[in-house]
Amino acid sequence: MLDLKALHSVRNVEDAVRLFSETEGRGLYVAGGTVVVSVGSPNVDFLIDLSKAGLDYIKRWESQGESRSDGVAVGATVTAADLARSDEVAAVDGGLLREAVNRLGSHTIRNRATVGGNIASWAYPADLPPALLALDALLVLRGVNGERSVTVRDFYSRRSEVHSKGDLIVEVRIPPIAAGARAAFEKIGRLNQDIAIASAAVVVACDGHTVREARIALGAVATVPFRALEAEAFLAGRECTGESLAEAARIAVSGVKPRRDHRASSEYRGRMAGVAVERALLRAVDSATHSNQ
Amino acid sequence: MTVRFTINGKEVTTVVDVGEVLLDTLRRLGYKGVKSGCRTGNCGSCTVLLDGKPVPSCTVLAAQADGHAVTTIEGLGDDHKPDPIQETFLRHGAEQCAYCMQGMILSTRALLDENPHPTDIEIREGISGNLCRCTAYVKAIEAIRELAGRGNENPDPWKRKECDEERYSTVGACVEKTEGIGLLSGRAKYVDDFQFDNLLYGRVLRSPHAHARIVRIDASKALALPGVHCVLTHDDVPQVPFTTAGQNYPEPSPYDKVILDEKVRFVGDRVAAVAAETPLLAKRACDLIDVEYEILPAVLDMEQAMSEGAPRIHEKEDPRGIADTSRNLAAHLDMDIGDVAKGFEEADRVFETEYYSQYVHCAPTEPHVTATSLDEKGRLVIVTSTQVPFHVRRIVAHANEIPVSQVRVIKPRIGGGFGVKQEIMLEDICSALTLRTRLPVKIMLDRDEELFATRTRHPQKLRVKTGVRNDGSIVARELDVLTNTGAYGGHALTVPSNTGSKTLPLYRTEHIRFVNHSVYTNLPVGGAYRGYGAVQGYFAIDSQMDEIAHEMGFDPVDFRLRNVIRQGEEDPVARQLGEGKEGFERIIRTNGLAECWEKVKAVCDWDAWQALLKPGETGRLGSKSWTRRGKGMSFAMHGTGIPGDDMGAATIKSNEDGSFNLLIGATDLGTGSDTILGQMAAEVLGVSSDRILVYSSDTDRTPFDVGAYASSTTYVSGGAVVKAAEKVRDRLFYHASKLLGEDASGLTCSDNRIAAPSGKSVSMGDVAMEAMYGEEKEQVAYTSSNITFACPPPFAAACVDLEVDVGTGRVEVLEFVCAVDLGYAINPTFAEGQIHGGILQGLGQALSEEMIFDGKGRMVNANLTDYKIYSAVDAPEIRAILVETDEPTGPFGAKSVSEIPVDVVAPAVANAIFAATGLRLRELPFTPERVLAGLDSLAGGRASPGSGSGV
Repeated sequence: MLDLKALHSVRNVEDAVRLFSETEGRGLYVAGGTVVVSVGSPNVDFLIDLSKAGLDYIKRWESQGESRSDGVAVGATVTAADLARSDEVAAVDGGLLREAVNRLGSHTIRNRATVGGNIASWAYPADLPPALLALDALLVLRGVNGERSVTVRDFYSRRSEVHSKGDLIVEVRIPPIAAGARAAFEKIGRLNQDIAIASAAVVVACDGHTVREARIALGAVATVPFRALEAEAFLAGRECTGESLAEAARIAVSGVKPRRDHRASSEYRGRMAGVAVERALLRAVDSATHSNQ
Repeated sequence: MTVRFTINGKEVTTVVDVGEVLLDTLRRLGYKGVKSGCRTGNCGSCTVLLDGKPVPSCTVLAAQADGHAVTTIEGLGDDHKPDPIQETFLRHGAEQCAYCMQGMILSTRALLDENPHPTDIEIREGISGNLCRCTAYVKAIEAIRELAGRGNENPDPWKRKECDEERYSTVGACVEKTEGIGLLSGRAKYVDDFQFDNLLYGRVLRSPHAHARIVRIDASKALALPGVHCVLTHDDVPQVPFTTAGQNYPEPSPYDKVILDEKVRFVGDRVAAVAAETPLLAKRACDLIDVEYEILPAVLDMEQAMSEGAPRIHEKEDPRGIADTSRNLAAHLDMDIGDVAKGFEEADRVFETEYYSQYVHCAPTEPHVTATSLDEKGRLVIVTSTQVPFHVRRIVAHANEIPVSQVRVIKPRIGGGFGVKQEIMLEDICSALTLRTRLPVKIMLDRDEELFATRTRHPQKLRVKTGVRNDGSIVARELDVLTNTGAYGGHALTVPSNTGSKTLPLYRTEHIRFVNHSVYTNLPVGGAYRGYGAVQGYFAIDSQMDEIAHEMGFDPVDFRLRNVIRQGEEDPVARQLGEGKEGFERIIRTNGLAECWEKVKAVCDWDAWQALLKPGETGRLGSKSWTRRGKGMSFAMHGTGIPGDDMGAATIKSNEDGSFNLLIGATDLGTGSDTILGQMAAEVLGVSSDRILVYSSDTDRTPFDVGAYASSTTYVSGGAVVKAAEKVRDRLFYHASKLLGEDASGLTCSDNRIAAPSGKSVSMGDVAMEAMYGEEKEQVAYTSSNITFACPPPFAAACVDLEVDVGTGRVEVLEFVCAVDLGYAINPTFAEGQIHGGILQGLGQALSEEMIFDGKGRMVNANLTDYKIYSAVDAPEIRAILVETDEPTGPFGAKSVSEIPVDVVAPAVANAIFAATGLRLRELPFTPERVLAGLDSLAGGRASPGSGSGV
């Protein structure tokens, strides 16, 4: 039982955003409820329920990327389970999100947790954000001044510039990964079913045994997930060997000051981030180079 | 607000509060199969199908269900036509307490609807949202395999499904639970399912400080809130000291607690109690109580507790049973057999190592919950989730200063206990609220309160010093234990006493010394938890046995087997170390340890694995380049009941149709003891088990029993059932002899009939009818009690096969094999279930579970997200083997089985990690971070190379 003054069930995003602006900072959007309802939020008097706002679609999206093939647009209230079930999504992202979802909570939680909620909860160990970062995904935000799209990367790295309180995540747009590219998600926790101590999502494209492009994103390590751009640059054009991947993993976590909490010390978390990156790269590269042969 | 949705196909319109969650709406509408376990989406006890998909209904706002279809367990079949899942689960014995099972069955339904032929991994995924604390998911997975049309692909050849037909007809058979399908259909009643008129919801205001004096407490704002009926503070309740430990009278635990005190001694200690018309109001009222604390320096380290100048936690003069308040010493033990100093001199090698066992919690799926009310005569009726109804009656009466005659305690179905419900956690204060308001009051703990404010396994630091001769015999052993009992001293004497008494006899030792200091700290409170001190003790002793074997070049198994106590020998410790007092003579009449090991060895391919290892090689490459695989083993013995203390009684009365009421004080907390005791009665009376109507654990209607603890029920209470049944049977033989015209002395009973040697027979129903309505007219009914001094130990051997990830430090258990010599399995399915569940709890203690505190004594992981219990995707394959040795003192040859499986786990895992990596860990739990730190130090302080690939 939450101690609330009102719960608004909205039928569209316009109403959601307008109602939010009327709560004077005491409102919160809710969809799956796995965080808002179960953990509660002491400073919240009003909930705006998005479950009937028409945001549970997965559809084709004409991306502007160089590949010119179609991406996919995922409504914010699509559940993690439905995201993983979608072959449309898997065809675009190389199965990366499906892998991430399969490590997100339990089977029943995945039936409730939503794509938008996983991002909007701002929980640093969240599983989908690193995958979305590695996919160069976009977020469509709706605020009182209308709709705009921002990259997931900007959403996390330039939050104060691109996001204001009350902005609603409406949709996630996922451009297709390059032909022949392979993706992998690694998560390290205390047990299989756990909050991440560290996670890594990678997308790697190879020419033969040479890396054409690598995208590496880390989750759970810092306050927000981030792309390891230096490690990506290091790998580009380099031959895929155990050593080069290990070095990329080292670069990815160098200079990062990992968070410390009751799940892990800062030092351990930093090391696990490196392990996650290296193992994700190993798996993606293994799959990418095999597919070239 | 109004919501419209369908529940089990029926359209429902109902008004809900804005913040109400679907779980509460469904329960309010009568769908009580939806259970509340954590309210954070972790445990899955509240799982329902929302449009066919399993979801935790505690995360769904009732308003969000508007327009959707909800299926609860009640929608899945009924008594007459259960769902095939329910039938199959029951046949496999998938359930124990069954509190989690409603949800697991619904998850299974959804899984099979979407994927009729799931693989094992898919099955585990499908039920990953349903945490079970009793079982290890083994039998549920077996059942789902069968439902998926795969049958049982790998039947364990040693399994006995039927009883030994030469000797018995019912005991030894895998009888289904007497509560049967009711348990799996949501209709079995747990405390929270009882309905009361004008019910108030109780809540305890808890201390935010580890150590403080309450200077002022003002409840006026809380009382001003409409709907708040009562606030109790220390001024409002009797200041009668008692112990919350539900032990036999006089309890061997200090009387260091009152219902509400003017001092708080740990974060979570009681400050005040509230009764209000809704749970939300009770919460708001707690928030409105104004408390001024004088914050006192806190003791958060057990090493510091006894030091000079440490703050005193208990100050009252002359409290009963505290060893020394001035030193924060709750209890002290000191025992000598022979002369250890001399023994160490005689030894060729002396080993001294120290071990630490952490704070862990029983974490039953159903939190503590109690409902109190006054009956029409004004007597207090306590419906409570307890393991000890009769101790509850005595202790609540004492603490509230009312006569025992004015208290009735009823234990309905309960959702797991494992020791933590051997404590009076709510019954005293809930009763105080009812006595004050004259209204029914219910208190159900939140999950975080359950974890930080109830009772834990006592953390211990154990120093073991062992002297060994070159021939492998053990000359001397000293076990020096420091026990942290937390803020109160429940079980502070007896848990550590068992650390010594359960473990020290296992390996023959000439000279033994055992010392324990149990100290108070300002941390959560120790109590009973399955294994009861032995778990900590075996971690130390059976780890060290491996270390000694390694150092001295002995085979670890041979070294153990050479020294194991033999059949016919006397346990030298039992006589000295009793339950907080002198003990009794204990002769080992049965010891199946060697057979246990033979069977374990065969199942886990121990010899073949050892043959693969080159001399000096530690472990082998695992399934990945960065994993190392190893196998470890351990032995244990335990006890069966508390000798001279535990008493159980049973009443059996015959009905005119040949059925019998079996009334027992024994307390079934999910183990199946109602069924087992019924099987015993059926065996003696020669009737089928469905003729035994079991009613248990009601202080008004059943005879006394100490309750469910100390692995006693089958043995102690079972003995009482056998005695009562024999008396009833003999009396029915008397009546039968009149009908048959034969001498009573030669009669026998079986198949619901009584027969004479001549071949003449009469049905049990006719005999019972004759007794009741014949010329003599009597109610054939007898009560017997049983007490024992023998305490025969079960024995266990275990082997664990695991992989260590040297990049992350994570330990993945591949398979755990455990054989228990339990004397005789009255119900093999239930006995296996006890082993499975015990092993999984042990794995939690060994690898993942740990109560973590901040610098102010606050538990920071008081939730099931971060207090890591194994889910179905985490649990390994667990194989239980039953070894039967026919214990002469036990009913039908039975000893015990419930606690010993936990004992073997931590040492086996420690030994396997050593075998895999050469790393010896002496501090529990072996979390990935701790393992990796150990591997680092093993590598000489260097960071292990190639953290990802490990090569």
